[in-house]
Amino acid sequence: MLYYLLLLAAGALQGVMVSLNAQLGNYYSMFAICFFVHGIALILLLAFLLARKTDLRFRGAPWYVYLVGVFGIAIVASSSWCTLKLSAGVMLAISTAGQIISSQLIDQFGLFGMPVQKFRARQLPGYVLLAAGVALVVLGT
Amino acid sequence: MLLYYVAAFVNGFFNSVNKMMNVKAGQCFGTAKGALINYVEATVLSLALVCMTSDPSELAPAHVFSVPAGVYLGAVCGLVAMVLIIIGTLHTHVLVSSILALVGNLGMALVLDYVFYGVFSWLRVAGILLILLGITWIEKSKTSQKEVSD
Repeated sequence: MLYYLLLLAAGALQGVMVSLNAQLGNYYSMFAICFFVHGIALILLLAFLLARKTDLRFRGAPWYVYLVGVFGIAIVASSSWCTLKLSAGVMLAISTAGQIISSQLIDQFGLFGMPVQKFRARQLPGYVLLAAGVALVVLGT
Repeated sequence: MLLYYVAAFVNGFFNSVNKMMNVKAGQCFGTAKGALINYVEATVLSLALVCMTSDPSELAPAHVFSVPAGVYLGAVCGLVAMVLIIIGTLHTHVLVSSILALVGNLGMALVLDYVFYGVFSWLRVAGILLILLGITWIEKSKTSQKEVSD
């Protein structure tokens, strides 16, 4: 039960994060928002790793792993930009649909070394429910 | 307005790809060091982009300290959420952890839209319930498909 509550809290904190990052947009340009969001997290995480005397050398990862920061910027910039215009609820609902569909594509083609899991017709009702849910959230604005 | 809807949808794609990269980085370096790569790169790149595309004076201390401190806390929320998700996922099923995090995420979005924009509608609540139902259905189908192929 405790772990369920932790997961609910984690989700809620992510919602707060998206909303606070969007509020930064009232004071800063899109890339400055990215700078503060990642810079503050960097300082905190670096302090944690240094306190634990972690070895900070990096080697041996596939090349695309080093593109992760580019996607980090794209995520923060696009979510902050959209949230100010669409509201947090609409932005997160549409983004969730995007995540589910892209996860299906990753599974379908076995991208990033994931095992191939082809689309099956029995998944279709789930996608219909997802689309209907997103439509209701957008219409409820 | 359509542009914002498309951007929000593409944001979901970015999230999935980013998640896969983070998983790979975590496998190679450990979770914390994997996340560190993301933050180092994104901080340096975004600083360069600020200098190239906008007025760098927006990073001047006088302006930075004039902004309410609370709005800087998004990064802290993100870090704490990441730790909680790792702990929670280790002690529950992946499906349960994904759905619960989404319940918290979309539920909090409802609350924050009411607080910041004064927006609330039962249509939205119904929409969020349908989204959660749809995701549960899709993930359940995937899990049963995997069990059959195993």
